[in-house]
Amino acid sequence: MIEKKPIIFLLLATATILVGTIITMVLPFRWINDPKLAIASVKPYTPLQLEGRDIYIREGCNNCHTQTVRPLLSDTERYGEYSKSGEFVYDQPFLWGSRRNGPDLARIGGKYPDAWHVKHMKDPRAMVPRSNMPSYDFLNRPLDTSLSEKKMKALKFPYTPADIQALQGKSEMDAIIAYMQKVGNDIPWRKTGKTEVLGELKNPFQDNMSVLPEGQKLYAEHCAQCHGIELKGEVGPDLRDMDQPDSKVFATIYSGIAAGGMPAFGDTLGKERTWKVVTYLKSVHKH
Amino acid sequence: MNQQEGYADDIVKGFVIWSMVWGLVAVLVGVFISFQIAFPQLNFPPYLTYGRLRPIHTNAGIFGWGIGSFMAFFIYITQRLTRTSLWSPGLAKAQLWLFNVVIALAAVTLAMGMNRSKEYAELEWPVASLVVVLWVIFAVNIVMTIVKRREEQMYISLWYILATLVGVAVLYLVNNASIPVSLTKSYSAYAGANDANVQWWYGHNAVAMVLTTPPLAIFYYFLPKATGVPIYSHRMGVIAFWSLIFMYLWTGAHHLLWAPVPDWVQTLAMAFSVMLIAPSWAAVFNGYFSMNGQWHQMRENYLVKFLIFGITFYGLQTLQGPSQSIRTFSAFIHFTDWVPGHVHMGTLGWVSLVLFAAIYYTIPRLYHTEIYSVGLANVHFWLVLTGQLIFSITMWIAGVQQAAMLNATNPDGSLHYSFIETMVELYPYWHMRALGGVIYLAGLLVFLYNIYQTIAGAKTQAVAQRA
Amino acid sequence: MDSASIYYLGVTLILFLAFAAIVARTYSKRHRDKGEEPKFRMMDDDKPKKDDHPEN
Repeated sequence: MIEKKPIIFLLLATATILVGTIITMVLPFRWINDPKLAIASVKPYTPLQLEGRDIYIREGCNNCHTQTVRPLLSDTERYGEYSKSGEFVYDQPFLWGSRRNGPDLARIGGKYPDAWHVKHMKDPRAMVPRSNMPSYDFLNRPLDTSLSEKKMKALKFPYTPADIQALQGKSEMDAIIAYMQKVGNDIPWRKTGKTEVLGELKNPFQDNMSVLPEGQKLYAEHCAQCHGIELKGEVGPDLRDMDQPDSKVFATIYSGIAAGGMPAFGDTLGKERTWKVVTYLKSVHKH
Repeated sequence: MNQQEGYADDIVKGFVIWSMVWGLVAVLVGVFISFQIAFPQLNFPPYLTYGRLRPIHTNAGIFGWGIGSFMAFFIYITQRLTRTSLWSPGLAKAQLWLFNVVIALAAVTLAMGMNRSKEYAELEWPVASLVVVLWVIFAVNIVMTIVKRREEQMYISLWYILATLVGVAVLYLVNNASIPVSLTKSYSAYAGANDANVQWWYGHNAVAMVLTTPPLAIFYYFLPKATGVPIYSHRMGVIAFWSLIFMYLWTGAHHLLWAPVPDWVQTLAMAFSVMLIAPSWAAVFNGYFSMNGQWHQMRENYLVKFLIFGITFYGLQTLQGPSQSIRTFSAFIHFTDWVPGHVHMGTLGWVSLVLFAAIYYTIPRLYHTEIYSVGLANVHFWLVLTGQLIFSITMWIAGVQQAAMLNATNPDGSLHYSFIETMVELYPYWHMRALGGVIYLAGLLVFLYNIYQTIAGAKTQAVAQRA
Repeated sequence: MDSASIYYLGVTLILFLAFAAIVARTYSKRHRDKGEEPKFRMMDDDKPKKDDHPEN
């Protein structure tokens, strides 16, 4: 019957593939991005952020970096609050990615100061010794703004003439960093500076010289990028001859300083390793 | 050649040769980017970075090598199964030109960073529009040939061919919907979680309609031709056909497990992925049972070796795939190297082995000669098999290791490793993968040399006969 | 059981019946020879057929 009638066969095959298509691809449009479920604090991109996002797309960053934090311990502890559907309503296209050759970036916004990004994009291995990320030094070139206004109109994002004017003199590096500082930062999730450290803070390794090598190793991996391998300070301040009590240093590392661009390391280091870093820090002096 | 008398086969030659050219490009770029991952100094910005080259690798592989050779064999198979010459050889010639223009344009525009960012649908709208024209030309030619056929009943390969034609069209049109800003820039018509859901409905069904149904059409045709024995059960093929094309379309969201798309979409995708084992393995059994009493051909007939190893990798692929689609397992290995290991078992193992067999079978017939060297074909077989196994197995181990490290916690509940600590442990595996890629490339070069010599030999034979 | 569940169950049942019908038809005695015929005919396809289309 149908095996003798190719046109009827073609129609039947089409109907067959449309069943699953309609149920799992077309129907969800009814629920996803429903204005009733919108997150008020999530804002569209500014012209500079949008240009930065387009550079992210052009360079294929999504081939190595994902932008979804799954509600799993290994993701939320490492990257931050899990991703919500409502956070992506202005993302055309979405940039969730499929492979983490590098870390997830869904919560990169506000994690590091701009200066960190500039240094890292220029020479990733200067910051993260064994990173395999290419150098993006060439982004230090003028941003092409000829399409900026058309892009904002195409996506129906609000903007003012002043926003467009402000693009003058910006580099591609400025744009991509402006974009990254926005990613995942529209909902108040960051615990920086807020984590309460309960109980008496007493360094269990006080004057314990045997933990210094490990403390130094942890410092080199997690802290040296910003404070320099010799603690002289670069992106962050000089850490030699600190006259703060151990408990204060611990709290800063563990919870970060929101205003100062110091990330919280409590989730990655845990208490014990944080104390080892504290012990190492207090052992380094200028002379 | 007098096309009125026989089938329009000159055009098949063109598609086969050009698909091999793009296949070589895909593997060369693939090997290069595998070195870039292991040795980041090999990135040469702005054009030759991993981020820009990876889409060229996937597009050259899927569309250049895959679609190019499917066009060749759809034209070859359809004419024979309908006992009719091609509806319009002229149109097919135009199609070959357009095909090469599109793939070349794709490579150039992607290197320049014109990229929609949606995986396997990266091409900007002017190039994507040419792809649509190309597909319409192709589909019309094949469908018209089937309509005017001189064989009443359609063999199962034709079913898969027709499903491919309509399936690819629907997927490509929906996922490429764009808001153009200029000739070189556009934005996806969908936003956020909707865009993600559309993309992976497309992405996984590109696996169905490009990497499954066409190779199945080719397998079902060339296995009986190579062994000289009919397929085990045509009716089992029919049941598997309807089940396969029905179930595949539900499974896209298994790429989005734990992502912010509705849970019920994820659960359906998970269930249907597991159900897909049945129709997939029906094809595997059909292949194996066709070999009843013929297993000695695995030693004697190199074509059978390629085909049966191909369908075996298909069988393994369709067991591993559903297992990855289960939430708990996905939570562990998703985003790690496990997944590229899985993908390359399908593309290098299943799809390419079947295509190699089809090319070995058709080229000598199209040029009225014998294959240049069966010995070299065997060398080719073992090299590509070794290269592919090194690739896949090292990536599975790397994926499991990284997943385990990412999930390791300290007694106080904090994570034991930072991301970079888990990543630097992957370098030895990445070196192994690059080695696997080089071995695969060597195998491919042996294959191309063998085909080149076969064609060159046929031409000198023809000259000698005329003289 | 709410109406949605009944609806989903109904759709599942219909799909299953469609599948059963395809299997029953494909494997029916009447259809057996016809269903397996193409696999034999495809073995001989070296040349296009001429006879049944005299206009060519």
